[in-house]
Amino acid sequence: MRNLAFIILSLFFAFHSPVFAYLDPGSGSAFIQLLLGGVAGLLVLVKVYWRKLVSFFTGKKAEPHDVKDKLPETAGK
Amino acid sequence: MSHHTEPSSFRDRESLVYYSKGQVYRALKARAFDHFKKLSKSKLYAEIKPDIVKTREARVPPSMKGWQGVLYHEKIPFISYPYEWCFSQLKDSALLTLDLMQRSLKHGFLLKDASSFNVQFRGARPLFIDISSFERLESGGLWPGYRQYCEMFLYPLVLTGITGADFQPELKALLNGISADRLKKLLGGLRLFRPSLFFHVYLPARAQKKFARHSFLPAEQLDSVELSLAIMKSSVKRLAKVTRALRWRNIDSAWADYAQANTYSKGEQAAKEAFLKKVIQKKKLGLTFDLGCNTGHYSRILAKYSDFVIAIDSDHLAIERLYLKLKAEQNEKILPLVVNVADPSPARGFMSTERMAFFERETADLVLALALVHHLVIAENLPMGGVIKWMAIFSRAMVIEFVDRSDAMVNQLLKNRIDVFDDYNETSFRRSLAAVFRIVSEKKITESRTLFYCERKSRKTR
Repeated sequence: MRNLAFIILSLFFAFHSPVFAYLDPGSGSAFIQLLLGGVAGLLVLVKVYWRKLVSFFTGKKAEPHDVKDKLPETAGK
Repeated sequence: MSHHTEPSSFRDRESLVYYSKGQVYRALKARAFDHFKKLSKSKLYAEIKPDIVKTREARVPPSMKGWQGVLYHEKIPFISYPYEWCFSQLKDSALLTLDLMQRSLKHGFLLKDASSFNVQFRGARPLFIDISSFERLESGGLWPGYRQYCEMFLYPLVLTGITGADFQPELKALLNGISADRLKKLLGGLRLFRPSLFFHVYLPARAQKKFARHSFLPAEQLDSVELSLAIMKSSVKRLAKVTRALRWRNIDSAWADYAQANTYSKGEQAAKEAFLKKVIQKKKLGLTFDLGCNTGHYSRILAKYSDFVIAIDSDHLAIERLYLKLKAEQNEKILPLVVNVADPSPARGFMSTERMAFFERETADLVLALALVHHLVIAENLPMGGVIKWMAIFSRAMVIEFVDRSDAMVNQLLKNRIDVFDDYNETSFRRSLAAVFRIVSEKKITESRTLFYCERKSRKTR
């Protein structure tokens, strides 16, 4: 079961374009916190990716999130 | 009323640390003062008091017009930085931070950041010094300090825990810690797919790259405080678990070798101790240094006759062992640090003044330099006169040892080197010493070793 989770997660991150890391350093740790956030975290992940999950099953295209509010993150201190 | 600002304090726009008449104060803007008032009235405050620097409200002086509140903080005897700490000092600081975060969450507060510069040591006791970090959790969200905790605490510990390589050189170069991507590259290979490293190093590194351009924004879904609390409690608990499990790789075998290599003659040690005690017992010593402290044996003698001892050695293993002993004793007088006298921590950060260089921070009332000079001149290739002149800058008095060429240790050092050390002889040593110090007393300990007690001559500005 754990191995399956690893494979799925690795694949999720396998395809990405090279990016400028400084543009948004906070998002990465937000994602990880949800992943490690127990049941509550998984709940939020499902809510965020609901549309993507739905489109996966119904074959329709959809973006999982909009660029609106951002979570604050501590700058170097 | 003149005061000067703490150089690194610009990092928090709502709080300003400054020094006035040798005391430490923190000025707060309205929002920060408001958060402090909420904290001081909460049950959390009583719980965390033993682990934070002593704080009390003070009046706002006229010179701090424009600031809404001022706090008085008890002064930390000597400021040290994470790149001077041994493995366990960094680990204990990390666990202290997470412990305060967990207790905060229980009471509906959180730490707004997780910088390793928020912790200082009083002897072997870590104390949290950034009271402004505590904020009441008023809206949904996640821990803004998560990534900072990983980069400044977890990843350096993981580096030393997994590879055995020291983290101090990394932190000496990277003020804000080691990034997930950097650690991923340093560790490399299949190691990264171990469960703890997979979730705490590999995935964060990948996630940061993936979401840098197409942001990941769960803000809408995180509108409730309860939900946010539940998530933060869980992820912080996991960070604590993985941090607690970290151990310095191969340390047990390293210590076994170490114990065998250190032999000394008891008679010689007794003679040194007697001279040291005789010299310092009648003095009122505040801050003192033990340069090249090794096991901390002489640091402990110093501690009996002074307020605080800073015991430094370039050997990370020696400091680790000394720290663990001092911690077990709950010693708050001796602070052990990993510092190379020949290459100490430089000035760091913005304008190269944000963090002070090691030997510029304080002047010591007394400095011990036992079994040090021969190491600096011969092994480190430093000029004898230069070394002593430099030591006078931060030493009001010294107990310093000269070991001449007939000694076995010096012989060993000279064996594998071309002997270019013309300045390494007693005449030259006395001359260098007398140039900046007044030699008060001396004692021949053995045929080859002499101890000197000397006091700084001129009245320097420090």
